[in-house]
Formats: sequence, C-alpha cells, structure tokens
Amino acid sequence: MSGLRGVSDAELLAAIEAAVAELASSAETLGARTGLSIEGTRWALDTTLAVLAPVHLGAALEELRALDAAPVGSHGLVLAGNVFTAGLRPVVWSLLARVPVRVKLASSDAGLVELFRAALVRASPAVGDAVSLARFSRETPERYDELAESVDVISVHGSDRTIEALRARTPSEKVFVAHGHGLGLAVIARGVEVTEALVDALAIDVAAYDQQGCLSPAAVLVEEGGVFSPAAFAGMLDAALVRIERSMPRGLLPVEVGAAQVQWRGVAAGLHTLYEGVAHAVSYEGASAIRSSPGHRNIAVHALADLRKLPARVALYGEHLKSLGVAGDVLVPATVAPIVSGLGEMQRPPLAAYTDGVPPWTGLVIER
Amino acid sequence: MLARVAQLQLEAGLESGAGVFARLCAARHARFDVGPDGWPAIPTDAFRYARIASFPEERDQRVFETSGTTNGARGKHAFRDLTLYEVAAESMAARTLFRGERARLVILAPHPDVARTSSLSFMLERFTSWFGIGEPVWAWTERGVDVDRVRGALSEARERTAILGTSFALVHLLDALHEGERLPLPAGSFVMQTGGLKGRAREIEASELRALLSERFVLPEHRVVSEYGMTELSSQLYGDGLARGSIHDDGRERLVAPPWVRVTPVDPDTLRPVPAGATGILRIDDLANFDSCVSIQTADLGFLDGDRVVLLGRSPGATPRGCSLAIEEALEPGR
Repeated sequence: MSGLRGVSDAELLAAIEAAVAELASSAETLGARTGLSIEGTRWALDTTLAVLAPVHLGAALEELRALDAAPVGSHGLVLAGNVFTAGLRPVVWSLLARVPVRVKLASSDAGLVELFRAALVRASPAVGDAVSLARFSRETPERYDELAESVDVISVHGSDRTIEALRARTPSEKVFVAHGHGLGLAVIARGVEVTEALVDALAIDVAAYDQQGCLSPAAVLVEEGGVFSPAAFAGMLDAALVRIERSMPRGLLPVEVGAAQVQWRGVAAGLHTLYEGVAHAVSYEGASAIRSSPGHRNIAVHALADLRKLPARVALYGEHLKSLGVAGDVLVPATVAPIVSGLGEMQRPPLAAYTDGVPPWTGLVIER
Repeated sequence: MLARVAQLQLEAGLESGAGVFARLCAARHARFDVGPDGWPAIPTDAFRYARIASFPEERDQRVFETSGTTNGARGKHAFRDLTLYEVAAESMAARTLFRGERARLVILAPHPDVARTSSLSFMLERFTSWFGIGEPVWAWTERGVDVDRVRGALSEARERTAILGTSFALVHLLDALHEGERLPLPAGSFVMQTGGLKGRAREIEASELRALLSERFVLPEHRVVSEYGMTELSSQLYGDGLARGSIHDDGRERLVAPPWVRVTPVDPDTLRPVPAGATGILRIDDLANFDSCVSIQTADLGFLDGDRVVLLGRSPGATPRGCSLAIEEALEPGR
C-alpha cells in the first residue's frame, strides 16, 4: 500500500495538526486577498482551525471507521466564489477518508488551500502529495472535463448556474455532489431572555466574513410578544454592531456592493427604520417581505407574529436555506435542511456538521 | 431652484403622510440651505416598493414601469402631466442627436401600443413626430428583431437615417445578419443604443458593440452614441460622439447631461461626493422629475471627466467573494 492509504492514522493526524498550526499565523500572508479586515481574517482563520483540532479530527476518524466503508479512488473538488476558508473542510475530509483530492481553485481564491497543501507537504510528503491543485477558468471547460474524467467523485461548490453547467458535463457514472450557494436566517423566540451577550453573539454571526458566506444571516426574525419588541431588538443589534466594528472592523467594500448597499439602505431609510453606523446598518422592516441584503453588515430585522408561522416562511427558501441561528425553542420544518446552531455559532459549524442535509463524507466512501 | 423643488416635494410628502422622500429626509437629517449634498436622493429601488409621487394616484396620466423586477415588483414612475418630460426629451435629443436635421427612423424597440408602460417606447414614438422623415420603421416584434424589415428599410434609405434601439436588440440584429453583410447608411446617419444587455443577449463590451455597429452600418465609430436614461428619471444623457466628431482616445464614451441635470458620483458609505475623477455611485438630480423626486440615487457606477460622465455600468457579473445568495435568487422558481 502506498501514498495516502499507506499512511498511519497517527501520521495523518500529525500532518494535519502541523499544517493547521502553520496556518494559524497566516492571516498576514493572506492579507487583503480575503477582502476582510485583518481582524476579520484572523477570526475566520481561528474559528475554522479550531474545528480542525486533534480532538475533532480523531472523532471524525472514528465516525468514518464506524461506517465500515471503503474509500473511493479519487476526489475532484471544485471551489467557486466561496469564503476564503471554505476549501479546508472538504480537503480535510478527503484526507481523513484516505481519498486523494484534486482541487480546482476559484479565480478569486485567497490562497489558504495552497498554504495548507504546502504545510502538509512539509509535515508529511505522503499526505501533502495527496492534495493537488489546479486553476482554470470557465472559458476552458475541457479542463473540467479532464478533472471529472480522472476522479470517482466530484464535489462542486458554487452558484446554481455553475453547478447545473458542470453537472451536465459530468459523466453519468461519476458521483456528483453539489454544494450550492445559499443564505442563513436568525430566529429569536419570544420567551428568550434578550441580553447584551445574546445580541453580541448575533452580531458576530453578521460580522463574520462580512456577511458574505452561505451561513451568514440575511435577516433576523424576532417573535413578537417578548420583553423586547422586534423594533427594540433592531436598535440593540445596531449597538452590538457598533461594538464589534471596534474589535473586528469591516473589510473592503467593493464598489459594486456599495451600489447595492446605497439602494438597500435608501429603501430602508425611506420606507422603514434605519440604524446606520460607520460600516454597518440595521433596518427594522416589521412584517414586510424579506429583501435581499447586499451583505457587508447590512441586515434587516423582521417581526414574526408567531413562531408557528416560521415553517411556511422559511420553506420558501428550500435547499438554499443553509443555516438557521436560533435563540429559544424553534421547530425546524422538515422541508429544509439547514445547519441549526445557537447565535454566535452560525459561522462555525462542527467538523461533522451535515451540509445540504448530507454528511461531509458523502461520495468519499462506499459502505461495505 | 433644485433645493426649492426638493423642498416642495418634501412638503407634498408630509401633507400626504406617506412620503418616502419625507421619511428619507428625516432619517438623513436633510438640510436645504447647504447645496444639493445637504439632502438625500431617493434610491431607484424605492420606486419598486412605494409610490414616489407628489400628487394623488387618481391624477395619474401615465405610469412608466421598469423592465426588471425585484421581489416580483416593477419600479413605477407616475406622471400627472407629460409636458415637461416631452420638453426635456425633445430639447436634449435635438441638441445632441439630431442637431437640427430630421432623419428617417428605424426603431428597434417595442411600439408603445404593445409596451404602454415603457418610457423608452414613449420617447421614441415622440421622436417620430419631432425628428422623423416619412413613416418610421418599427422593427422589433415579440419574436425579436424583424431583420428583413431592417434590411428592406435600409436598402431603400437615401436620406439621413437614425437607427434607435436597445443594446440587446442591436446585438440580436448583429447576430442575425449574414457573415460579412453590410448595411451602409447614408451620410449624416447615426445609431443610438440604450440600456444594458441584462442577460437578454450575449454579453458584449460597449466599445466592442460600438465597433461592430460601426462596421455593419459603415459609419465612423463616433456616429454610434449611447443614450442613458431610466424609468425613474425624466431626462436623458447622450454620448458626445456626434458633437465631438470623434471618439475619445481611451475609447470610453463621455455622456453629456442636460443643463437641468446634475450628476454626482458619491461614496457608498457616506453618500458624500467622491473626489474629482474618482469612481462613485451616480446620484442624479433631475429638475424635470418635478412630480416625483428631483434627487435620484442610481445603482450605476461612474466618474466625471470635467462636465462629462463616464458610465461604468452596474457590474452585476462581478465575481462575488462569498457564497451567499440573494433572496430573489433563492426564491426564483426552478432554481
């Protein structure tokens, strides 16, 4: 047995652990490429790497062992338009499942997977060589064809359009795993004690990745009848976003996002109640339909008359609802499969969290 | 004058109790004594969510609607009188496009009979009586450009001809013509293109489209000019090619605003004007928007070159850094 399959569990875990330790100081190296402030990059890096701590990696290995499954031969991973840390988890799961992975990086990739691979090679060439990287544009679809042809399973992250285009090009005998773009929502039940700590936790969910991730909350639904009205909650969230701006400032605002922000905030100021900070805004929009937020810390708070109405409201988003941050007892409808977490945890799901309703090892192993 | 009109519109909104502009002014602590930067501009998106008018609905004479939708809603701009709109449109087109001479008109846009809510169709229909020679040729059908009709019209053209159309209709026409086919236009002719492609035609750079049109119609490139207008405005801006007699060295078209329009690129966070020459989001103060709101905040990017405007577009195709999805996309059927 050679390559990744010949590596012991201990060597594999040690290599990942060493690479993770190297990445811990890479925020400055990544710099402006993440689009976030240096503090925002550090937060994203720290929370992502914390999930890759030895205890979690060991537990993941145990989970794979318990499946009594055999690894497939090879894995193709297409990353497109994701937040800068998004590539690490699928690469690590591939390694844990002992499946060499060929990664197609996004054109806007900040370089974290590249740094991770280099660190792995230094720690254990056998492990590092199991990760190979490629960059090609959508103008060269034949490169994708070559990638899909050469692997047993292909995971595609990206927009619905990208996924459908690549699915159509993928040979039918290959396993195709799609991870589309999406959005998150935060829900506050009326019985919850709304403290500054709770609102600060939600502010972290909003501020993390400058609200550009598919786990980022696009809006907050606050059940009416609690001690704090939904309108008052909007004011508290504004204050919390002011606080977090001091410790984790917003990053760059691309001008095209700025154009959308101007529209979103203008509508909020003209039709709703807008709280505007230096680099954030909260709009209280009552029971109105949820509007698209431009992200970058622009968030709307909506009133929800009764939590029992939540299923109907979120069912509209179907598979695109990726994350639900909850405070209080919230029943998640069966028609959606978001990652459900407490406030402050929306952007740091556990290593073994199911995405799109499937486990992270989907396609990597075949149960015996 | 601008401040006085803006104040009148604010007061009209306060009287009705439903004024979006009034609420916006209150939220942004508007002042009308410090120049136009002292009060906010209404974002174009607001026209999709609320009525922006300083008169009651029963007095609507015409309502123009945007072609695109957000949350299933189209932006609506109501008019109780179109006289000012017409004066503004005729005056600016006469100065920058037709320049004192009439032309035979070939129009690649829907006729107002089938697109009653389109401000562009309305304006082009008015052009036929203000500037046209003979019967205009309306060559856009619900199936797209009637290419044979365009060929027929242009093969007979002996007089100055103006082809007026949307960018996506012109791209359709270019795609439908045979390879190497030319439709030479008589001397003094020009092409006016307007609007983005909005996913309705293959994407093509503005300068490339201009070059292709110039080649097909055997015109100097400067005789292909852009019109910049939108449902939420009552005035239009035009490329300066016809007046200047050449394209600019950098290949970018400069737009001329009417004297009653002020264009200001602003910073997206502060809404303050950006430094001279810097790119910002275009705020347009249009005095002809008398019955809605004179100050409009667009979502378009651009910068000023002296008194000219360089439009950079809306960048809808910019690669997002993250994987978050717009609400509209999440709700789109079949996705």
